[in-house]
Amino acid sequence: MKRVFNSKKGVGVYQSSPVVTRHNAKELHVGTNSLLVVFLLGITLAIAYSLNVFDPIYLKGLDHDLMFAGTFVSVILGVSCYEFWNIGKRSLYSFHFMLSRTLSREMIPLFFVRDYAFAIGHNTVYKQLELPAGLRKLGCISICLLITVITVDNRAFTKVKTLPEVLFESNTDFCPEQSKEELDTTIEPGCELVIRAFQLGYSQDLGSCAPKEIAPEKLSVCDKRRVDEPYFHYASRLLVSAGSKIAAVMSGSEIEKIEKKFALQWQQVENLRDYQLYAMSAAPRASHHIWTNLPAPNSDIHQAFIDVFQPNYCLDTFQNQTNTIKLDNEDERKKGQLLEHVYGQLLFNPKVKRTVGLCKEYQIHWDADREVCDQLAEAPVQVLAEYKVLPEIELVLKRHDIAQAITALDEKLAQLDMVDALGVSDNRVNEGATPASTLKGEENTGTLQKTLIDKSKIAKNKRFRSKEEIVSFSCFMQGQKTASREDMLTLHQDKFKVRTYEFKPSSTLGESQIAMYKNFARVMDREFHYTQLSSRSDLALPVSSAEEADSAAPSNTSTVDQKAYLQNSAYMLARLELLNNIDIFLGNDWVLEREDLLEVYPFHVHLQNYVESFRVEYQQDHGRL
Amino acid sequence: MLISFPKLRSQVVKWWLLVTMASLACLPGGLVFAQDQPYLEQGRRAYIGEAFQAFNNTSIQSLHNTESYIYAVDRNNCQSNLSSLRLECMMNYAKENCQSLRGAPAQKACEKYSDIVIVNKLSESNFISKAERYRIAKSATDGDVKQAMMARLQQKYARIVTLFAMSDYSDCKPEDTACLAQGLDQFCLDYTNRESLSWQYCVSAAVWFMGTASNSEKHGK
Repeated sequence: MKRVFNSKKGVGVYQSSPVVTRHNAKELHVGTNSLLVVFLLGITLAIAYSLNVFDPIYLKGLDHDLMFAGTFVSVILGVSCYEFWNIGKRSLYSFHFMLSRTLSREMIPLFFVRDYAFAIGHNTVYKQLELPAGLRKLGCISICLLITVITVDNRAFTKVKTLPEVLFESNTDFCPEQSKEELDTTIEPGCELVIRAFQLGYSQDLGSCAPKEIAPEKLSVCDKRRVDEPYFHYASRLLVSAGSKIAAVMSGSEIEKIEKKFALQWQQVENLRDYQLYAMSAAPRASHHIWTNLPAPNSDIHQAFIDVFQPNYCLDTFQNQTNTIKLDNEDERKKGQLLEHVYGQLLFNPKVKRTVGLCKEYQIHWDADREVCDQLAEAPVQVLAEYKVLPEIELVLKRHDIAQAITALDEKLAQLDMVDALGVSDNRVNEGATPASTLKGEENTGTLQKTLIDKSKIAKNKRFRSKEEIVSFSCFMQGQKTASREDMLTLHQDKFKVRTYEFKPSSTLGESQIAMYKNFARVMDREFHYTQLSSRSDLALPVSSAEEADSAAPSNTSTVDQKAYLQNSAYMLARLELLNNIDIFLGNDWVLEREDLLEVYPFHVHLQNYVESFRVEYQQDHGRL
Repeated sequence: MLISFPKLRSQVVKWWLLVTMASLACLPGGLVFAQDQPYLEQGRRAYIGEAFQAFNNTSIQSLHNTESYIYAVDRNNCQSNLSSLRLECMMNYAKENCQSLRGAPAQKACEKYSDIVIVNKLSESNFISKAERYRIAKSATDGDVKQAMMARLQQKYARIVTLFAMSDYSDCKPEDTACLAQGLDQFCLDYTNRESLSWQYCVSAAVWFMGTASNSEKHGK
């Protein structure tokens, strides 16, 4: 029996429910409420399983508050859903599995299997299968609990917990409280002994090591909200301030300045575009070329492989160079290998801290003709095009021009700001006041409006290098005699020096290594001279008289005594200390003739010193933008 | 034709004398050549092998005594801004110390391990920079800076020996000093070519560490 409302009578009357008794063994009718619960539970279980929610370690790590709150909320939500959607009641609709011919009109068939049909429809007639109400309620709660566990982890729960604080927290900074005078208790270097003496009573005062008072900060007028200021008062202050700023902008002078700045930048828009493009694409900042008639260190196939698959070959190779190189006498490429080793040591080896540039911006052209530098001086464009380096050089020169234009633009923009900041008329600027911004004087713009241009994109160094410093041409040729000369070439109205240096080959490997360093250093920088004063070896003492080899003081710089000293087999290891004072870059060729000494010679001592001296000299006139 | 025994004997003696004299004549030439370039591969490896032998045949106490002695003379008598003077001074004191020992073998062994000690002393600044030395001195808990420095040096030596042990050159039996000497020589040549360290510093550090370690094991300390 169930109570239904009779609209005619206006009262609720009891009406008997339709009797559902028909049941066929070959039919199946399942209530949609139960199916829904089972289906949703299955989905959430599958999702939870795929997300490893059931991992015992994860569950064990869940916050206890989260577990409690999650369960509590799940129960409430689950029961609410259960009651709201009447899941506990008999389903009004059912899934039917029955003979196709027995389907009624209200049923919607889903699909057919032989004589049977799956259908869904309103069901008041058939007895339908349903989960017990308790199970359905439990199912709803379980679904809510699984959703909670899937979606909320410890981090999310912490955010939820702190949400009220965040919401109610004011997002404005407050003016700082006036700081009290405090003593600076940090101990200055060298004061530890003074403090200790004072503590022990040996001294009456600390003198300059005494803690200093910190002067209270001179606060400018603080525009932020005061601690005790009402929020609406602060809001009205902000409004008034914004109005004043708008009025200032609209007054005329600011707009005029903006227009002028825009006009200036519009004139240079292509340069500005290129300057950003080159900075982002890491375009080369220098281009240095060396032609040599020595054979390439690698075979053509190997070199082609390097060019294609190892673009950072030079960076990797020069990162881990050894102090000396072992060459195969039979290898026809040994001189090229030696040159490459020396070139890497002199310019790029990071063991000596000051590297002169990026190795990708340097190029050695192997197996070159001996007259290439003469041809270069006569027809530079053709020769450079033939070697396929003209585009790169032109790019570097163009980048230099752009850098100059951008620097000039930056100065003009800074001038406009200076006028505005000082409140001075344009006349004063026109009279030649020093512009606020140069590439060097970045600190001058500290109090002025920041410009749009990032100077590090223009030039890495504070000193703006000339074109001759960032582009160079050299020829390093093996010949019958030692000679050097300098020619000039003109490339797109810019003049560059072309240095040619010829050197004689050396006979022994030891000599050839040192000779290669000296010769290559000369071609890269004519001004470089390595002397006793640059060397790490001790200064030479005057020779007094001949002494016995066995007890010869090694301070005696007579070569004969040094040779004899290093031929003695007693205290063999200690005697090698003498080599630290024999700099083979300053001559001392007798060491180069001793094959045994070359094997144990401390190259790192004098080589690093030599390289560092060279780089200091080289960087004065060469480098990158 | 039979040759009488006395005649045969005299001919054999003549030939033997001839051969001996010829060999003796060649020997100085070979010795001169070897002496001219003692740092060739053979000479280096032989010297390192002899150094290992010297460590094996000397007590650990003697080694540490010699070390203390040389360090003391370096601190007190051999201070100099010129490294060559300092070196010569230490060598002279070491020679005097070795001459006080009895027997040529002991003196020869003393020369070898004294050489190692001198080179280790000279190489201290290469292994421990000034900044690190200051840190060690500052953090020495019981005030014994010297002990702390020695411990740190031992760690540095251990690093070199570990690298040697992990390299392909150390595939030797522990008692095969010739093989060890060869491997150590080659390892130090390669290692010092890559790093900023002298060959003799590498060899001395490794020989001292391995020599004292094996000596301690041998004598049960």
